Amino acid sequence: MNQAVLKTSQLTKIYQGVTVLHNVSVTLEAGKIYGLIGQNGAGKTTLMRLISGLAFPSGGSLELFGRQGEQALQAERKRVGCMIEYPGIVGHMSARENLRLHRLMKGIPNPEIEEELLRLVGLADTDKKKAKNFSLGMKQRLGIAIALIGNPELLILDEPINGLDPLGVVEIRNLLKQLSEERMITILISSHNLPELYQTATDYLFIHQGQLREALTLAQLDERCRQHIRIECDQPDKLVSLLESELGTQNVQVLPDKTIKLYDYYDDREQVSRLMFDHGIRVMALSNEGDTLEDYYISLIGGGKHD
Amino acid sequence: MINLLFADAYKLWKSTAIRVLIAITAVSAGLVTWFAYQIPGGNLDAGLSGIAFMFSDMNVISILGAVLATIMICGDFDNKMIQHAISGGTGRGAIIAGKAAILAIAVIVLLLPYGLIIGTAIGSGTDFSLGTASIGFVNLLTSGSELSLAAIWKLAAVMLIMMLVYAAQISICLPLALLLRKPVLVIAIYYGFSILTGQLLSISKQYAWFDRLFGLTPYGGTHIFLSLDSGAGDMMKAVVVSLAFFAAMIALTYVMFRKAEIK
Repeated sequence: MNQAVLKTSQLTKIYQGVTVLHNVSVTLEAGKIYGLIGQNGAGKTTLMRLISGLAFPSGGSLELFGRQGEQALQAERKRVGCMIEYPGIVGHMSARENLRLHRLMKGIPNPEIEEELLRLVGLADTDKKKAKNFSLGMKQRLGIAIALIGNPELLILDEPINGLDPLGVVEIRNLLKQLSEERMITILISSHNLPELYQTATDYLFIHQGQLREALTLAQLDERCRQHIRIECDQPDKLVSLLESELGTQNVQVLPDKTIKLYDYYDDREQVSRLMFDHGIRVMALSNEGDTLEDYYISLIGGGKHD
Repeated sequence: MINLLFADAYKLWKSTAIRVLIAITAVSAGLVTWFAYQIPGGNLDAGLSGIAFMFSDMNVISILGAVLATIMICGDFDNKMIQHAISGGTGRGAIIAGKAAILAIAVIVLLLPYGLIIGTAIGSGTDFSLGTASIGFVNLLTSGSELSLAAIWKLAAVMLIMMLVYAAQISICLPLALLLRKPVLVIAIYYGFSILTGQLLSISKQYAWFDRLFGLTPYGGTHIFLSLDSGAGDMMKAVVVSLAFFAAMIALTYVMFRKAEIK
């Protein structure tokens, strides 16, 4: 296991009596890209704000680069770059001036990094154009450049591809992968663009109603999303028993909405169908499927129900 | 803290709003000096002193000082400078100290036109009067003190101390801006507060005990009535009261902001 860049244990946040984050325990390892997936209000931004020190936990603990405690966390945050909710930029300044402002704030003497970062995020040609006149995509790029000032070892990006055109999305994806591979930067990124996140992240954290539902590597996710027979029937528990006793498979997942995913017999659906018919199980749906990240996420949080 | 100070100074340098504020104080300083020159010469009616007061440093700074604080503090919540500072490992105490320092520097810069224009006017040896009691730099202008060559340093010291007194007065915007984060609220509350302290100043003339108590703040005593005739004791007292009040505001802000949640 790589060095833990971030470790939370039973992290909880309560706002005015409402628990928005409940006992979240995650460990982020160096050099990986973590996709943080959840609905609006699931607790993604709250988790990021707790990590970055903008909010304080109501319970649990937080460890950055192996250190915990308020003073230590403050010191370790110098190794973290953030863009949370929306990019923080000064509208009347150009991209370069914005970078200079943040460079001065971090006490970095070397002005060459301004040009380097502008080139890295594709804003080198913006000259004196004021940031307030930037498109949303340009503002996002500038926000990422600001987060990268000081060569952070942990990069926290909340919805960084919001507003980017398709080409921009690809560029940012490549940039994040490059940063992770070449500089061993650990990246925690949230996005509602799940197909894009699937192509970017190496690990996934599924968060729902303030709780961490699952943490998976890309390999584990691919395994979970592999081809299966999706079955909706009136007696799912009986079917699970029958599949084990009659067809000898336990390779089954029952989703919260009682839909069954059968990962065996993919090419022999008829046998499964016959089993159900012979035992009087009424079938509502029977289909061969393979999950996408989106399908998997929806099935994980309760079969497409949104609250 | 020093990094934040440099960053804030760079931001102010690039800010159009600050240039506009300085232009306003320059025009106001020019106008109040012009009124104070015309009224004793009989070219303007003494009844116009009320209008002249609108351009006085006391009145202008009551509004612009709070505007300045909101630009530098509330604005930094909008553009996320404060969020970046915290998430980048800067302590909240350092953020408060940095904001207090840059606020004081900005208030001094904002008052420089008054210092320059009124200082030049005093040096001309001309009579200035608004026909009513004055306060701050205008009081210095209309107090009728003679400016000798040797007194130039004292004039500079008195002006600097008055700038410090104003900065201390405006330091109350520090906790307001860091906690309320809404410019309109901060400006309205501070302007209302400055009117209130003006009334309290009148009351303090009637009650000695209240005068002594109020004199422990930069709003009371003779701190804002310094002139070339003021003694070293009064000047020193103004400095000590201002610095102590400033420190108290920083401490109060720290207590309230230390564990404040930031959106």
